[in-house]
Amino acid sequence: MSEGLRDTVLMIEDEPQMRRFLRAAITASGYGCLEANTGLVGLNEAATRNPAVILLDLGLPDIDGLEVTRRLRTWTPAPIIVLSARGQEVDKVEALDAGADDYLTKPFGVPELLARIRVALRHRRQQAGTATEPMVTFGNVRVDLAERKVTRGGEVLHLTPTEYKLLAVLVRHAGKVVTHRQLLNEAWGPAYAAETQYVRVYVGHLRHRLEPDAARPRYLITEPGVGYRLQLDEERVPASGGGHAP
Amino acid sequence: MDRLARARRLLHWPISIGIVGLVTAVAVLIFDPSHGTAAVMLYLLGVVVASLRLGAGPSLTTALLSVLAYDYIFIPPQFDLVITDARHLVTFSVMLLVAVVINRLARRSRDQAEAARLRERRTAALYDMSRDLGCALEREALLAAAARHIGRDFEAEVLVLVAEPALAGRFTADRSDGLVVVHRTPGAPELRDAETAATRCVWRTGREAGAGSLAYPQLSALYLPILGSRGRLGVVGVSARERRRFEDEDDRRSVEAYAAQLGLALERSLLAEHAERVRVSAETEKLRNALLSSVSHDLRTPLGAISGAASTLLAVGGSLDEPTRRELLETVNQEARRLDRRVTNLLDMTRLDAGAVSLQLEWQPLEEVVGSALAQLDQALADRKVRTDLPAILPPVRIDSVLFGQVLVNLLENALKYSPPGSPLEVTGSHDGNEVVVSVADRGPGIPPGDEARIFDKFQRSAAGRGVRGVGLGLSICRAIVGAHGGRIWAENREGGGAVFRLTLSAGVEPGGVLEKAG
Repeated sequence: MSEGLRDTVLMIEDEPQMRRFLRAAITASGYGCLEANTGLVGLNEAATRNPAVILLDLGLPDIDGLEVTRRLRTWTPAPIIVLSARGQEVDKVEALDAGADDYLTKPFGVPELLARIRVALRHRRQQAGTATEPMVTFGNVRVDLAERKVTRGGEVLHLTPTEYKLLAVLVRHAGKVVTHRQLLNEAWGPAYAAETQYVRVYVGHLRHRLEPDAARPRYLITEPGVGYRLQLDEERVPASGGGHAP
Repeated sequence: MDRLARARRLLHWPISIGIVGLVTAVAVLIFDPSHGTAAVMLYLLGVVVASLRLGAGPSLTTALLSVLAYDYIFIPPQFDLVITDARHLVTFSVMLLVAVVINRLARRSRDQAEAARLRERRTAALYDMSRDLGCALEREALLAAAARHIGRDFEAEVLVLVAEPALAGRFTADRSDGLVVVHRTPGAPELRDAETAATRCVWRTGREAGAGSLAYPQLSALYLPILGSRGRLGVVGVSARERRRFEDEDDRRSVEAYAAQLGLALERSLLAEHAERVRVSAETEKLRNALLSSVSHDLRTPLGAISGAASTLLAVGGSLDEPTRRELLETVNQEARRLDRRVTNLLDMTRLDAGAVSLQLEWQPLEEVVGSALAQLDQALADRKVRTDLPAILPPVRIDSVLFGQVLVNLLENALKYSPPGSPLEVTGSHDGNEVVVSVADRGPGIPPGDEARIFDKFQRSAAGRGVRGVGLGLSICRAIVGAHGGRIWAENREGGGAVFRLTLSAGVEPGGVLEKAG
């Protein structure tokens, strides 16, 4: 981040306790912090202060989070990360399909939050600047979008056209979650929006070809109920603390 | 009187004449008509036979004809009906009297025999019914059996009403209690105002009403109280097809006996129902108490740790060294996650119990959901070797990825809890007929024999894991979710030690195949 021009994060969140810890985490990481405790105030702040990233709670008192997402998307390309409770997968998917970029499930840890913000900012910079990063590496796999070439450990892999298309979508959104619908739309076409099983099977194929252990993927991660994410090593979050015994 | 009996009765007349003819023929053969005063005995015999077997009219006819024949043939002047000796008048009167008396006696004796047979039949029928009622265990079967017997034996339609409190197991007889129709035979007429009033009258007074009774005699049905040992239970209405049925004393006593049998059996059934309700309510109470005490303990424990650690930091945080401070903060973090998991389990179980969960089923390869579950427990599995064996040829299964993932997470967490640190875990999939079997296995102490089913009940913890924490709902959640998918889940002990949990899912053929998009 350049000095003097900090990226600002706008949080639209009605719970004061949530705002408190978000504020601390965000400012300690060197970002500017804007706050709004209702949807209307949030929309206003977004319009007037032009934040770099927007954190949006889906459970706002005045306007539905989905509606806020839609309205924001009519005039701003700023990344939107939605915050939502467990078990509300449908809401998250709707928000993502309406234009949100990523999501966090409460309760979430700060490392996860900061990782998402970093990914969001990276994509924003890429969009604002030149075209998407042409070359992406994860593990011993290298994907060259310009040359349409995929290599693993130096060897060229021959993927089927659909496998490649699917991989390309995930690579273009590297680090961000992509919903089933988005994947189907970009790899198969709008007519296939409901055929989630296709995506699953093809992701399975890709895992077998690209992952060291297909049964325990490190890069092509399932986001249950939502979609998939291509997890890059540099943005990997160390598993947030917490014992395993429930 | 039916046709056959009527026809028989008509035959009596020619028979009565025939008897006289026969006797006359025999008398003439044996006796010489001029000395035939002894022939009167033969005629008397004929009259006795006729009186024993024929109706009143025909037997009197026989007597009369016998007198005439005797007079005509054997009394001088012969072949003439004139009577010269007045003593013969006595003979004639005696013959007539004999005919009448014997006829009456014979008839009475026949009637008594008939009545005794009828009573015997009734007793046998009543015994039959009480045996059937004794066998019937539940209320519906019992009422149907009683209605069947009463209907059959009295050629009637039956209606049974029970007082509302009695249905709930309370046997008070309050005048204001509502009566509910609990059974009716198909042809039973509807209760109109008069009939309803009659049933209420029976309920209030405990006495009969309807056909042949003092109250509401104009009704075609008879209403009797159903009495139990503790009081009135209800009212039974019997509508005989033949109106005059219940004017017969024996019939009335009989139907009362049936009603008494019904009362005893019904009371037994209602008491049994009541006892069952009490038992279920006690079980529910027990489960609720278990829930409350479990929830209280298992939620308060992490809360205690969190507030304790936070409070320490606030109070004396400044004087603690950095590692200690860090430790306390870790405690807050860990315990908060633990609390989150427990609350999640409780909420899941509540939603599943309430049926408030709708499955979003999709065809998926097992590999994906297994990988997802393993990823969720990544840190917890750090010190374990997890072997996965999911052959590529496993057919896809139709599952809700979030819920089924929860099942795997619960099974893996269970395996972690009940096996020693560092011991290996296995997740395997196999294809068996048209089912896919998923197994999660550990090398812990296994399940105490006999507990294999109990551990899936709510709030059960295996005795082998004393001091193991957790709400004890994980496995019951698994069972509920697997059940909702139409599968089965069970536990076994493994060869070589440890437990294995297996579940089945219907295997599928993926619909439509998968498309390859050109270009």
